[in-house]
Amino acid sequence: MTNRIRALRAERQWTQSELARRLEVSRQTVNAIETGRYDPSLPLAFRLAAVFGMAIEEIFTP
Amino acid sequence: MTRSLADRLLPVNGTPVDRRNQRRYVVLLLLFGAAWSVLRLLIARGTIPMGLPAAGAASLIGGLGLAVVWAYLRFYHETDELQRRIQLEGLAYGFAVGIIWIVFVALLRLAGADGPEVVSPAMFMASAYGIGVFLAATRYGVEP
Repeated sequence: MTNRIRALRAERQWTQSELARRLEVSRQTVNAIETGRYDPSLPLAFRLAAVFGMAIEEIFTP
Repeated sequence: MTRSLADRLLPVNGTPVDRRNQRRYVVLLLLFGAAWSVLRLLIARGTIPMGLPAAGAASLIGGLGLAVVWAYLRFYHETDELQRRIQLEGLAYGFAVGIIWIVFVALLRLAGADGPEVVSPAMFMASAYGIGVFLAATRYGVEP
């Protein structure tokens, strides 16, 4: 599964730490998701969508 | 950004809640290890009489051990999902390898060998858990 998190984060000029703080996860978790090493759970994917104000399918591509 | 004294003394990763929980767990674990070692020495030297006094002291150490378990479970439940997965993989690795080790050593003893006794099953499982956490963290690109 691929995602646009790095690009969306860059558009908002957020650091990984800033996004992690908003999601209430560690920076390492944001990095693992961005690099595609870890696919988030559905609840975390919903939180990501809420933080970016988008639908899940606009962020993740199967 | 300046780091707190706790961060400098015991640097750990994760959210502020993770760091607090991991520090509590590590400190209790070190206390448990130190208390266990001291009590073992005192009993072996006869400083603490065998029987009820030694059993009572051992029970106190057991209570400290339960505190370690409580601290670890609290860290596990409050950490984020990736850290939980890494911990779970580490525990699975440690348990599986530990069981194989115990069975393997039993066979070796039957065969008359006594070398592997120097590594206790508990220490072996703890080491395997650490290796498991390292492997899982590496797989997900997280610095352990």
